[in-house]
Amino acid sequence: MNQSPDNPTQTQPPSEKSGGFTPRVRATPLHARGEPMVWLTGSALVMCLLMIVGLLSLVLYHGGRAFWPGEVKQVTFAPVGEDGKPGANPTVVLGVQTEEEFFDPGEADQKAIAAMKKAGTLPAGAVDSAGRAARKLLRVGNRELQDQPFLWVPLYQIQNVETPAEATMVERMEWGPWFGVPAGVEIRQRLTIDQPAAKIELSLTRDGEHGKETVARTIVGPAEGKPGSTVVDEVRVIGKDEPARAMAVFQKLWPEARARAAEIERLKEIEVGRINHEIEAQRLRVRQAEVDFARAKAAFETGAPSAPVWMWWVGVFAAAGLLGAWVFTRPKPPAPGELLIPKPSITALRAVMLAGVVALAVFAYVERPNSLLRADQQTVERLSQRLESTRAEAKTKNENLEAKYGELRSQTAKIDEEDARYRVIFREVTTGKFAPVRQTELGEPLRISQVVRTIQPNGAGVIDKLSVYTSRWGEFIFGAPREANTEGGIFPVIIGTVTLTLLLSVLVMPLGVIAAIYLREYAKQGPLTSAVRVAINNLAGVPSIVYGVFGLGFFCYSVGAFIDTGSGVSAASKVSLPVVGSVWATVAWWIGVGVLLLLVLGAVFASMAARPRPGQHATNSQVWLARGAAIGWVLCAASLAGLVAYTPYFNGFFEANLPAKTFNAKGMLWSALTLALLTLPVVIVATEEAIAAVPRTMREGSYGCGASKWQTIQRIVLPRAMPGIMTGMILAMARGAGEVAPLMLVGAVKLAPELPISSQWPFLHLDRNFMHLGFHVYDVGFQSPDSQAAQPIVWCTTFLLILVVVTLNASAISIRSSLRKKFFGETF
Amino acid sequence: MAEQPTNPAPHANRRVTRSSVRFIDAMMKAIVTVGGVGVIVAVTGILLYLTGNVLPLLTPGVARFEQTVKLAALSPKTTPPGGVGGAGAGAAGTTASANVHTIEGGGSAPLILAVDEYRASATMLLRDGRLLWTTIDQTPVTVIKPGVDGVTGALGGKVITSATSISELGAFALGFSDGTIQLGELKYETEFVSELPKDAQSKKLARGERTALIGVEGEAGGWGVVERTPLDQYRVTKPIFTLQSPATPEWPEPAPGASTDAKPGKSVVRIDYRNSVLASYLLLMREDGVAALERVTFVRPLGGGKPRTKLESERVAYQPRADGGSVIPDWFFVNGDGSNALALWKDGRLDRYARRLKGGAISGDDEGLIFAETVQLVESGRTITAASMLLGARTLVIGDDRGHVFGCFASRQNTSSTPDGLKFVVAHEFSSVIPSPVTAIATAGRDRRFVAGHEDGSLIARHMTSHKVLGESLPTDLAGIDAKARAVTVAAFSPKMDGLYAISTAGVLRSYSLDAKYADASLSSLFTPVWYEGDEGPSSTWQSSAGEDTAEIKYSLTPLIFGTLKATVYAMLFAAPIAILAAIYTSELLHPRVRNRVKPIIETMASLPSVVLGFVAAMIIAPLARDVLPGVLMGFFVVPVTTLAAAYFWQMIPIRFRSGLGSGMQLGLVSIVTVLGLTLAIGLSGPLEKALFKPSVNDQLVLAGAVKEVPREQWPEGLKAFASLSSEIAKPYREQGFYVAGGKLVKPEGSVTDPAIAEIIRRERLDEPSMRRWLDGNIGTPWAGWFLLMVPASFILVALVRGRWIDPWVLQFVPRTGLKAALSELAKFVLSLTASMVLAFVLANALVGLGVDSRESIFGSFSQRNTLVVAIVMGFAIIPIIYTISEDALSAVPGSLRSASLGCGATKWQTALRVVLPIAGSGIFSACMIGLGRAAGETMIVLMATGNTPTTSWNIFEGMRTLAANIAVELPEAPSGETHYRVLFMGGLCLFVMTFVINTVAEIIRQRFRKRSAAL
Repeated sequence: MNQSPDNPTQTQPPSEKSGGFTPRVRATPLHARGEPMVWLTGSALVMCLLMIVGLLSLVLYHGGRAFWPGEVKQVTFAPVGEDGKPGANPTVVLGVQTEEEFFDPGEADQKAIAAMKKAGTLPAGAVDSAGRAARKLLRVGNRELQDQPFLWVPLYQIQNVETPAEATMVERMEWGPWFGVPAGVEIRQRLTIDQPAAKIELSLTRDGEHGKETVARTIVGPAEGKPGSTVVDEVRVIGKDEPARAMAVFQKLWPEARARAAEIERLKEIEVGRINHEIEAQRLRVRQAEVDFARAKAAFETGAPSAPVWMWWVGVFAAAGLLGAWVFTRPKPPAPGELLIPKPSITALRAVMLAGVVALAVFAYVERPNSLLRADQQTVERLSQRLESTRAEAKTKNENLEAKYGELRSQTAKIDEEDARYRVIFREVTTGKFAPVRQTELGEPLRISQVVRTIQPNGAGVIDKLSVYTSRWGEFIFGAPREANTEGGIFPVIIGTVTLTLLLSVLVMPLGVIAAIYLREYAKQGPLTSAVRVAINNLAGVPSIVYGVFGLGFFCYSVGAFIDTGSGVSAASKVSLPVVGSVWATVAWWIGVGVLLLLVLGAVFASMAARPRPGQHATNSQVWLARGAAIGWVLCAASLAGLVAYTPYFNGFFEANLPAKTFNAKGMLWSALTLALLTLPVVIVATEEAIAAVPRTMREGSYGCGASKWQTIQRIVLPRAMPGIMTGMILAMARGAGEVAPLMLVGAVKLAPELPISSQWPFLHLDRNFMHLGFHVYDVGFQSPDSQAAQPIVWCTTFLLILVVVTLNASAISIRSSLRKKFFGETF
Repeated sequence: MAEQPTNPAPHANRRVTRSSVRFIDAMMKAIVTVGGVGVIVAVTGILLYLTGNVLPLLTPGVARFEQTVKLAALSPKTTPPGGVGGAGAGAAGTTASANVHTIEGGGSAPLILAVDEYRASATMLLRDGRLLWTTIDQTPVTVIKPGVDGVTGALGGKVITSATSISELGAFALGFSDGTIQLGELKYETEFVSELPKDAQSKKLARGERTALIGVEGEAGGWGVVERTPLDQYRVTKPIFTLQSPATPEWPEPAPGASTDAKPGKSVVRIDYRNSVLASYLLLMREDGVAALERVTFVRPLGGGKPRTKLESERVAYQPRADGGSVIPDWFFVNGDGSNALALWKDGRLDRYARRLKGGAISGDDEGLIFAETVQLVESGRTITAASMLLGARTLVIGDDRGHVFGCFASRQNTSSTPDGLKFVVAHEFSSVIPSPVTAIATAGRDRRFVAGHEDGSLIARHMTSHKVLGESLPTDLAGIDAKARAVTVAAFSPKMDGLYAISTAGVLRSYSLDAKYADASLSSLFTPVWYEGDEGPSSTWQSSAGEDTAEIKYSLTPLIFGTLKATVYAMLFAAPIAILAAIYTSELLHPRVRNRVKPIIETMASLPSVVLGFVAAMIIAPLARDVLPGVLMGFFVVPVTTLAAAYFWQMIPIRFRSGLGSGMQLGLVSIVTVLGLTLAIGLSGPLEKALFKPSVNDQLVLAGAVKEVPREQWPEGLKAFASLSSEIAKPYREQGFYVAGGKLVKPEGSVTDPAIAEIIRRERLDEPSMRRWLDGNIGTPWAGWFLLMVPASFILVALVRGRWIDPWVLQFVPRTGLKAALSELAKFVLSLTASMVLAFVLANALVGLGVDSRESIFGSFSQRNTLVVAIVMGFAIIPIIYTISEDALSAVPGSLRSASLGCGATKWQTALRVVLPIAGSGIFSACMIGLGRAAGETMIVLMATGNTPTTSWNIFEGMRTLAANIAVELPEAPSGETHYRVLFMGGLCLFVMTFVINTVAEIIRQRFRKRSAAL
């Protein structure tokens, strides 16, 4: 920001301000000012600003408006006859107007319009100057009765538009909104009347607890054990054809009904879900026991190799001995004044010993006598017994669970029965049909509990509308999606996005910071380091979809398959167990372990020998040795990875779950890792910049006080660089939260059955699919079967997404600018 | 950082660093080093991983020799006399069909060779009607079984005179000397049993072991192979040979022109059979040269029992060769859909018979197949020695006596005068390294691969589309086969295409395991044009899925790379000028206080998720751009011109009023002008449309249908060659009044004042100016488009000329300051504006005169989700990037330089233009490169704002498909590890490499720039 101060326009002759003295100043020629070009550049900036402001306000407008309740209009329209007079038998619909536009009228429309013009009955504004006709898009809902929940009505066909106060928009759990007029609340009950069947009045009007009600009775039969009594089904209708009273009663009954619905939901989702989860866990335990048994049996039959037990004991003793030797050869603490540099040979020997201990420990663990992998008679028998006991245990547990399940079911059924008693009737205006309980039962009115909310916007005050508005936003944020994501809320989407972003930052933070510290503080600055730096900068520019491709191929398909099914054998063949690796594969693997040990030894020795004596420069051969050691270490790492990938002793963590895939598919973990990789360059670059900005003098001061390198980094460099690191982190989070393309490949789904975090172990389910704000916008906006109906949800989701990302970015920018101020203030 | 450990010098009484501190220090160093190097390696490992996934695509397949099986029944010595040939075979000497070919003078080749799914055994139908069964993966066990006649193996009077089989279905057809034909199936059946069948020779099988299963005829065991599975079951694979009842085809009357001196006879000498879900066809030829196409159905008799073969005959107007060649073609093939019959002779002549095309569709009337054309497939002097039909039976594969193989098919050709408008062409040529004649060609049942067997016994399997070599035999495989009898007589793929089989003249069966890797893509098919089946010529097409299994899959990355470039170029054209100009203004001309407010706003723009931009593009911008299309286009010109004009007027205000204006106020003023310009552009939309895109009277008449057909003799010269017309071809003749309507050449007739026509015009609103109709090519001339394109270009040209020559000249005469100067500037601007209009007019006329249509390049037919929308919205995404980096580069120019320049009396604009810009130029260039990289990889915007059709035209009103969007659309559905998956990885790799190169160049330039500006 070392911008030169804004000069005052130097074209102005200074004479005017400095009184009498007037030096001869040639006026700046007009063309030198380049005024038109200045304006042109200014115009470009204005275009940028207009674009951003326009876009933000557009999203703000649509997102803010989407949930505001519009008027429910009662529109009467009919095709116009040839005489230009309004048609007979008009259609009457209730609906909310969502759009209005001009369209190119077809032949029939044109004829009708011409006729109306002639007759002088054309309403004002029905046709524009270019001859296009106006039409309105009405959301008329009532999907059970008509195919089109949206209806285009040409303006010239409309005869009458009213806004009746009792017109109600009913938002339901299923099948979208219903537009109608409240026409009564039904309460059904079965009761016993102490009268013989013949005497019972089948329909009557009486005063009940909700006021006047009409009752219709159906006789079921004589009551058992009570001669002279009769069981009847009563249907009480309150507020029949009295919209206001019906509405009032409905409002009174509604909270209870919703509570019942919520209770049923809770029982189904949570309780039944838990039982299912436990049953599944039992199944997996049994399956795992089966798999273990089958593999051991197969291994025993084919004579797969395993070390004899005495070898195991030899291994254990050897390891113990080596460990002892390692401890024994520990260098003594130096006397004051003595150099604290252990002799290379001793150090190398100790390193070898340690490597040997580790190798022997691994061997001893893998070939342990009670290992499942041992192919001997006892193991097979032991596993057979275990299988039996597991089965028995699972059986008793399952019986318990089944019983619990039955109990829950009867509980649910009871609440459901109670719930079915309360019905509400909303009649459509033309046909008088009411909202049905479901599409297959058009004769049964809607249950009260199925109503999410009712809105009577016509004549409602701003306060009422505002309460509807806030309740819709509340549902949007805290509710679950309904109707293929086109209604309801996006709670799982928010949870998915938040979990992903947090997980991503947890993953990217240490990696990025470590890499940056390495690059700035430890790596030797030279052409190689700058090449790495260029490469990292470039990776920030690599398209995100490429990371998605990598994530899908590497994480989901390769690493995921390894986690699920282990190495060597493909998942497909693992489904039909048992598969026993060949003898040679095992032998080759152990040879590989030996080679790795040799490599480690070589690398250790080379590293030791490559160290120059203190106070001296490295000789030429030492430099070469160091390079060789580095190559050796790389080879070690590669062969270690190879050995892990092809270990014959690992059969995957989720073998029992096969052929269902656990990690070998899209999921939260892979998405977070992919995004972490994607945002890693951002964090590395930001952290590096922040570390570089810490003045060298501070470091030198720290060293001068005797601090070690890590102490300096930990106590001087990192705290000073922290704001910069935070900036990088926030930028990474913002990028991760807004990224969609890679998520389409590695994890985000239309509708995740379960949240990625839950109250069940392990709480954070890394293998689950999840929903994501950005993907939700794409999916609901473009892949939705009813994209018109989904518009409010999409705009609000967009609004939320922008809010999150822009807030994150704005905070990053403000942190950065305050940081810059601070540093510039100190360095100059 | 120096790596010197901080050792205390060996002084007495020095305190020693605590060992825990040393330990932590060393440990953290190790962790940071390992972690840091690990992260860097992992990040760069992406490239390696992608490459690793792509490489298998480029490697050729491998065929590994397994073993040879000597089949005594096939060796020349044991051929039963009279088994082959008979009366009919004498005519041509060979029996040619899909998989069957006999070398003259050689031994007896089996008619049909079938291998089971597990590649354990092979079954052959011999010429004398017997079946030969042999195991092929172990010690050979061979059995001969009565076949066609059921009992004796001698055909009892009947002789097989022709045979054909469809490898993928196991179906075959036989033609006999008595004029009858018989259809049948040779298939394998697999069942799993828990007990070892008692017919198995050995009672003890290890897991995975196989043995031959020889049973007595009629008993449960039968013949086959039994294998113990890892699950301790037994899998029995047995050949099933079924024959339909014989059928006698109806023969049409010989064509009138047919030579009558041909020997009357009955034997069926050529037979070809095609079986698809829709219909089965049988093409037959009798020894007297009468051909028939039979539609085959199987009728199950009411009382049950064996289904009867029902043949419905259709005429084939076969014309024997007039040039003295044999009456009977050496090969006779029918297409998969029965629409073509191909008669092929050894000398390379091919006669094609086809159905007539009527009104754009192939007619299904009873005219049958009529003669379409004669083609010479190979140059004279060469001989065709083998032929077969590829999967789907549209492509003919032929091999010649020099070892070359060709793929030929009927292709769409505009100038073709054949009844069906197609022309038979040689589209693929495989020049062979093996100069020995091709003696057998076999095709696979699941994809477009084929294998050619040569006379010297060598085999080479290739893929037709990708030209990839899938496997080759080695000379050492032929050891033990008589050197003179190595010629391959029959070859076959195994059902899963993982095995390759060849029988040589000596009666030796060779088996190979085939690892074809990824047969249907190769480097050349991915990046260079390929002549796809039925196409007019080689093209680059992306079509990764098809409706039917037999369709050709087209993996060409070129259209996707093109789409990426197209999106990037248009986005850059939009974004780069705006971003750079805005950066110059912000850095050089804006007050720091205003700048500190403006910059974060634009940086916020960078953070907007692209999915939001894509959504807004599709929902708001695309419909808007559709409705005021000319306005949007005008905006790119009108807004800058309005701003410039406003500035010229502004200059006329005396300097003392102007100079008091702060930079915030100036920005406000410019904003007003810019908004005004935008409004003006939208407002001009209607008038512009009216002025440029009004349909002419002729256009109206044609659209209203008032036309008269032009007889062919009056057609313009250039059109006479075309058999069928499209409006594309006829567009240049519109000026002369020729139009194409309904496939016919017409001239408008009538008058727009005619009430009937006027009514149609009014009702359909045909007289309205419409840019979209103009873009579709239905109305108007190319002039309007050229004019629109030329206006900005000539404006820039005029401005350059003005700045270079005219301005210095004019300055000699007018005062440099004051109102007069301002007036002269304004006058120059107005004049140059007028001049550029005139120039654009002239240029447009010149281009129209040259006959170039603007609607074939940047303009073209309109679709709502198009590149213009993508350019604007993607511009939105890259503007902040270019802006931020450019602005940083400009700000990094040392302030001392500015001060010096200003001190010398230069204005701010002069300083910016002549001092700051040259220094910051490389930084700005690198900013553009980085923007370019971002645009190339953008996924969601392109995905949502275009139709994602992979085209290769520069039309800005059409969509495109970019590499990134293609991956996003197709990768989730692509099965992992298959060709499609790997080709998509290849797309990802291309993208990676593209952006990596662009970014590296940008980064290197930027670092250079930093060094240079730091040195100043």
